[in-house]
Amino acid sequence: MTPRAETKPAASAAPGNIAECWQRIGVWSAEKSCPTLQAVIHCRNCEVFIQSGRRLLDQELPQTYRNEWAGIMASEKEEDELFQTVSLVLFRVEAEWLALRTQILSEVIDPQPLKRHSLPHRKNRILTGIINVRGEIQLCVSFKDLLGIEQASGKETGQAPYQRMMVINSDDGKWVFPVSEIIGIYRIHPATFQNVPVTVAKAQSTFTKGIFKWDGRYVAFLDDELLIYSLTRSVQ
Amino acid sequence: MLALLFHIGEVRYIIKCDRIREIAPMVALKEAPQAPAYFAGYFNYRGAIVPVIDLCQLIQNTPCRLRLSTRIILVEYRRNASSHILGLIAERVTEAVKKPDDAFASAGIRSRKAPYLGGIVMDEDEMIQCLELDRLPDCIDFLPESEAATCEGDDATRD
Repeated sequence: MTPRAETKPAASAAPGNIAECWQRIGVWSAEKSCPTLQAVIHCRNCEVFIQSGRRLLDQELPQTYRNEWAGIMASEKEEDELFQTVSLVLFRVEAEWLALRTQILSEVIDPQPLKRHSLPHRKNRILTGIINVRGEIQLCVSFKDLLGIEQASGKETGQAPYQRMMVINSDDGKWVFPVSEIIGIYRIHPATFQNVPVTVAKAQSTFTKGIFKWDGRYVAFLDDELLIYSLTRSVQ
Repeated sequence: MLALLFHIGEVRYIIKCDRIREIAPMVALKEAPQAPAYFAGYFNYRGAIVPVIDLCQLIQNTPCRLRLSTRIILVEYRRNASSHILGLIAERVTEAVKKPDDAFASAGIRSRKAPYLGGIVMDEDEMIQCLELDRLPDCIDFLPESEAATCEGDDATRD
């Protein structure tokens, strides 16, 4: 009797429930003792977990499933909510929230390991120096000075951990500039763009194609062609 | 190149994604009389009538098991400068993988009965055979009316 009582829970745990290892030894268990966790960090990266998830789809079809889908597939495809939106990268320079087309974004890098070298005999506020990005020397520019953005005051200053270097592509090469924060890449519908008020006299407004509201703030969508044209002129 | 993995029975196959238009769930099909076993029926795909082939029946002579992961792969094939859509039922259509173009190695031989079986892709230790869409209609005698191609060896595979 005793061996049976012992083997019973073991048998039920072993073959069928190997699929539930994430609850026994994985991240959803108390001890997290699975040796594979060292390599994969989280169960969702583990092949066992992925395959078990796929196996959920090996169920029989529900009764009405086929007819229901036949009706859906017969009708016109519903237009995606993302249809005709543009992909923009949102970032902040001091207190100004700005956006550029994602297509021209090359990469975002941590400014810490980068060393910027100033150029001798160049007294240019916009061209701040040259910088080594992955073994290539790129021009480092200041958006703050190009756009005439004032130094932010108050709580938005001093958030050094969010500072990044943005690298953008142009036909003539790459441009690197520091930003105070990268908000992320979002899809925005062009219909939400508003015109820049004509009374705005700031230099920044000339680069602004439109303004849109995002997360309760106004973001300026910059004209990248004009921006790169101005950058090129400013370094000549 | 993105490629779609699926199962026919226990065997995995792969198909290049550039000709796949959509993956549809299993739907109710309108069966056709006098059709070969691999012909699963027609269905209304967004207003167009699309013939559907059961790949399990075509390759293994057993019908696809009806599971949630059994899906219809809608592919485009071009013949005589016109493009048609064909539905392919396969099992466990759950995964797409990225493979370099040169990963599709030639299998070296081509079966006359199953000319649609093309090159081999290695996935870790497993060899996965690639399904060639262009060859598939050659052995299906249910085609658009303009081109009633005949298939040699079709009867032999079914028996």
